[in-house]
Amino acid sequence: MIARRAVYTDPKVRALLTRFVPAADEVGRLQRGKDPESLLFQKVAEQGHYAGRTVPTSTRQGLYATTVDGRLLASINHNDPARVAAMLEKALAAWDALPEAERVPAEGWDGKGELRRLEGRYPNDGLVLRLTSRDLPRGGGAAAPSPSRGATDWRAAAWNLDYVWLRREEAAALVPEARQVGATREVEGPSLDRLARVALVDNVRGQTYPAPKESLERARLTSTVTAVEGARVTLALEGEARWEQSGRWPIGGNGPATPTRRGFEGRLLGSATWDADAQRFVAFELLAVGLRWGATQYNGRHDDLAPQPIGYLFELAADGPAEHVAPAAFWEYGW
Amino acid sequence: MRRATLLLCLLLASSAATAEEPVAAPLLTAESYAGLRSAIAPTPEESAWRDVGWLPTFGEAVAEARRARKPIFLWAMNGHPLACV
Repeated sequence: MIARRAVYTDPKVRALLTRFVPAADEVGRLQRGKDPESLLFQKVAEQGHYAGRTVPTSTRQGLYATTVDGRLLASINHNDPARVAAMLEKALAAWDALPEAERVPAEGWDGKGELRRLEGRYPNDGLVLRLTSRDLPRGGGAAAPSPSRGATDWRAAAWNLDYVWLRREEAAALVPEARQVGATREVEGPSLDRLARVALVDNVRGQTYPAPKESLERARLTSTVTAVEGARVTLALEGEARWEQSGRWPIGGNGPATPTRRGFEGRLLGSATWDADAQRFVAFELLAVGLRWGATQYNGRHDDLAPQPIGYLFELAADGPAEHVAPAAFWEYGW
Repeated sequence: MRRATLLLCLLLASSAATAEEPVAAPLLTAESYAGLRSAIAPTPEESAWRDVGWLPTFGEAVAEARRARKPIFLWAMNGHPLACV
């Protein structure tokens, strides 16, 4: 999250990146997989800053500059834009020093072919929502949502992204059957479940787990037709959700697990436009606002356990490749 | 500045609680919708990192780098850097 703000808004870094093909990817699969993509990454990473490392972790997170056949040009794992810029300059110097024939060798993996990636399940004819989560201002004058570190802490301005995927039939389940003003539908099934307990989790400061099905105490989303113009049906969306889970997590990092309760309770409100001819949404926006509480191992809430305001914005994702990233808790979809 | 003003308004609206009182979430209504949306949505400055032209997989970068005859820059993290980290 820090890198998003500090590194990739830096003018020098952005200028240097124009000489590269920039890509981002999840490291866990790449460093453990056996497919051509993963094996190529492992070749790169084992020349880089964490080569061979197993302690304190075996992570290969970081920034890598490489040729297409896995010749490392430079690498680093840092959020300082000056150091990243220096790494990019080093990589370009190494690239420029390579003989032309070695920059893009004809042999080697071409980056194509069937890969078992979650992105391959992208619902082209369904509904793809970009989900932003963020802390909202607190009562009692506590403006900084980082009690232990003060207002300069990055967590005071933290926000996160995720995606929500609905298949075509799951998206259609949000639309009342009657195409007339006033018609309503109580959304249920996977569409509601995915919004209420998979999406509405506290990932503002870092990843967490979906709420278990049994933790869902209330979930309602009412869809009401407010206008009909030809095939376009405008909907008002309104609802609520509450879940709470008791569990044991090492919330301070890698220490012992401690008993904790976490949860969310809040309201949902929004609107959408369904194109009945195309059988897809052409507009969609939904807010969820409520309270969150508790923590899990990696979501950075170990010193912020009490209920505090949180907000979520669901909106239509763009159709570009950068928004084809799979939802963080895709395993919970059952697809 | 606009965000700061909105955040201040929301803070004042929800600041009736004291240390002894339960915390309340801002009330989500048609009237409060625009202010809350603005408080949640990333600003253009916060979203600027997305303008780099990222490809979402290493494999797509390999294919594109072969076509464009360029080196690859890969940002690899726990959690996809373009989504939930």
